[in-house]
Amino acid sequence: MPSYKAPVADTLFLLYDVLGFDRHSNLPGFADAGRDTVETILEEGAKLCEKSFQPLNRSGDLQGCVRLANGDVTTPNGFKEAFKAFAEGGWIGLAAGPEYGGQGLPHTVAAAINEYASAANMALAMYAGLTQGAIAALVLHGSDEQKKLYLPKMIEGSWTGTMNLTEPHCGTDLGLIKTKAVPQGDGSYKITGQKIFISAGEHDMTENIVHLVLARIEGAPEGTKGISLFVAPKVLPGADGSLGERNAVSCGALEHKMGIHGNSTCVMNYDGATAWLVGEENRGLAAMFTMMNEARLGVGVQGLAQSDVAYQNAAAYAKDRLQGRSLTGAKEAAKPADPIIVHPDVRRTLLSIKAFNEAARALVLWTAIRGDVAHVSEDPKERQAGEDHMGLMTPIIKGVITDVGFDNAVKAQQMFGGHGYIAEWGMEQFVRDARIAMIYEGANGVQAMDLVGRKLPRDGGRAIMAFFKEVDGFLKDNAETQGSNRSSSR
Amino acid sequence: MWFMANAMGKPDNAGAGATDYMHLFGLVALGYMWARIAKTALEKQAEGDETMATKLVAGRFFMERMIPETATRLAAITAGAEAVMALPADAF
Ligand SMILES: Cc1cc2nc3c(=O)[nH]c(=O)nc-3n(C[C@H](O)[C@H](O)[C@H](O)COP(=O)(O)OP(=O)(O)OC[C@H]3O[C@@H](n4cnc5c(N)ncnc54)[C@H](O)[C@@H]3O)c2cc1C
Repeated sequence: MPSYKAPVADTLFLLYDVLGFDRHSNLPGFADAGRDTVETILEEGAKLCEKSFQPLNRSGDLQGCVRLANGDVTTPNGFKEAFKAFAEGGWIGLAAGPEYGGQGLPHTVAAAINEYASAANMALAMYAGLTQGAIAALVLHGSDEQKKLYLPKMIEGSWTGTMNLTEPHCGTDLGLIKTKAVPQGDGSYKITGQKIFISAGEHDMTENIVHLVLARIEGAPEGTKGISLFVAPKVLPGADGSLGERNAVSCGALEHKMGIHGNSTCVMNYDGATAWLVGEENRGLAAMFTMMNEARLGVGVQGLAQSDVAYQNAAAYAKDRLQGRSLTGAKEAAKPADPIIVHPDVRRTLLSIKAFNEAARALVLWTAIRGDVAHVSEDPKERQAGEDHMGLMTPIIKGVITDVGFDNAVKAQQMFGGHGYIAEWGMEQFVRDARIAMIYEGANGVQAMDLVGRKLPRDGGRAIMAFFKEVDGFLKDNAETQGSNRSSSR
Repeated sequence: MWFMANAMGKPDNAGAGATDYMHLFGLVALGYMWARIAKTALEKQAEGDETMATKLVAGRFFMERMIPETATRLAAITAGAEAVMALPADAF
């Protein structure tokens, strides 16, 4: 059986020793983010992930989600309880505003916890991750009324969130969206259409599900300029959050898929479902994109998480599995063979994963810090620089970390020889689960185009020039003492 | 920047090199992260922290064994889109 230990010491080393997280203690939310406090938070989160998420990873994969004849969907045994524990611990709203019941901590801390949760059980962690994404969208674009109604429920985890973008004929090219919204004259709309591949679209873990849906208001322009964002709850709530009638939205089918079996991937049918506009008419795509950076950061973290848990298990196996002798003579002569960790090729493989993971974690945390600064700093220049950095690094973190994260899961599987191919060892699940992160939230080929076509030239290349300036400055400052690092500069 | 000179009038050059560019940039960004980690690790090691040796070896491995991929990526980018776009769809 695979195991997982959250890398709390590494996270702390990167945050405080390398990245100077506490330099920002003057900013809102950061005052509570001193090393000791954050250490306690990370230790607590790690325990929950290791003890209640991880043991359900393989059983959840085997059992999967099931759609019943009435359209209800059941999640694997134990998921409901583990999600409840995560919610009650305040982990969903770790970075959400205290005015809605959140903990008000920097997103950086949430990014660290999300790595642990994803590594322990990616399918289960996604229910919380999608809820965090929907919270972020409502915080940015919801009306005060919407925020008051939905945010507390989502932050406490009694309602989850979803993102409904994809339709059968369009995933990347959302300008083709057909789902229709008809105004009812009372401020509400009726939504009709079909969405596919909707993660956590239906499940039995919470009493309500808050669907954020992209649709085209009747008579709106064609293409991307005619798309609006709506909120369509599964059960229609009263203004006080009490549950009323069931809305006309249902799960038509579950997809059978390669991995993340514990997360329901739903065809969602909207049959005149009641919905309310979020943000402005025809500005739905723009609204989605403002929260895309964080969502994509979250998917990049999934790549890192699978790479790390796969590595941990491969390293343990390599110290245990006896096969062959060291090229330089027996290392454990008393045993029938040496552990495979003596073989250079095994070490090369493991090191290539380890050397990637530690730097990838640093890149994620560094970018999360810059993102937090962009959110809360009072210095407009610092805010702009933070936003530039987030925009530039988002396709890198999403595209590179999920591409290499998947490759690393395969390499870690390889360390098990034939046993890596056998389900019981859990290594093939890491490979299957890691694979989706390369596809959703914008396929990686599209991330590359976002980088080259949009992020590089934006504002006359301001973001990339700032990045190179920083790297050059660092290398100049350290040229004498640390000559061996110079090779990273070009 | 090769893209600036070669992709303005020929957008296919950008499209054909985009994934390689993303990975090239990723390697540089990760290399920078290793440079920062190594600086801190050396400082802490000088203060007597023995756990830092592992990090320094992993960072060295990254520089010796993984950073060279930047050359491959650069070669692919600067090869441009000609071969990529030469075949009619039927030839695939
Ligand atoms: C398990 C799972 C969960 C998902 N969860 C959700 C969810 O919760 N909500 C949601 O809305 N969606 C979800 N999706 C959908 C997912 O986001 C899309 O599948 C993805 O964005 C790709 O869209 P597509 O499948 O239509 O592929 P297409 O857009 O048809 O793309 C096919 C291929 O062409 C390439 N391509 C397309 N356009 C370009 C271009 N302009 N330049 C270069 N290459 C291009 C792509 O990179 C891709 O490789 C999920 C999908 C899966 C499988």
